[in-house]
Amino acid sequence: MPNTSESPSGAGELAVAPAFAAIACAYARATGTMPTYFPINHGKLSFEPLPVQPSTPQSPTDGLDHTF
Amino acid sequence: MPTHTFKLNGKQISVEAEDNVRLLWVLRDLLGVTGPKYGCALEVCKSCTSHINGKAFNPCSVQVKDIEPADEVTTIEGLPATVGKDLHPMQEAWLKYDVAQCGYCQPGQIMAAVAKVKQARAEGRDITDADLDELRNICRCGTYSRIREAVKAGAEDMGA
Repeated sequence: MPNTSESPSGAGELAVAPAFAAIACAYARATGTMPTYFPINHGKLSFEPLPVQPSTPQSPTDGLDHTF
Repeated sequence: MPTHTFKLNGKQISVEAEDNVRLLWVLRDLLGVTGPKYGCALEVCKSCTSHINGKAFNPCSVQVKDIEPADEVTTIEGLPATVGKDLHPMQEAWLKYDVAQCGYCQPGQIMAAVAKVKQARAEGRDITDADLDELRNICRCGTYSRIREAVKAGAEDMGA
């Protein structure tokens, strides 16, 4: 799309991909091991994931007490 | 299954649903009224904000059995009819200020804004920044500054 304004905008996502690469490089330098896949460090989880069932608490029932 | 009846956007309707089903699902899934959006279903994000008897409420947190036959539920679909126009002045302001980005929260934002303006008017005053601070509707796109401008403009166009 041709730019229609003076000031640049709407390119925020462009920075995402270089950030991935930069983080991978930083990780490689810091640990001395080259990561070969994303997400880094998620081959084996170091924690017990929270249960996903039920995924959310029951909806509240007091909606009529909060009208305005 | 029990039958529930109430007034929805000016029409008396009846619907069959279990007592404890939250009104949001009755509106969206059973009645096909999808203006009130499903965000959190925890009365936190406020994206489902609609009006009950002219006051803002969140249908995700109201069991359908708690709605009385005489209760009047208005969703964004029924908002323009409350002023007898194609669009409510608040909606016009929304267009004028080009508020929406992704748009998901906007029905709730508009319904909450209209109720907040009416609340201030009922107290005999105009809407203030403090009133706007009380609107807790979440907008993940972060269009809050445009929302505030539009609410103030819409409030003027809503008249006394």
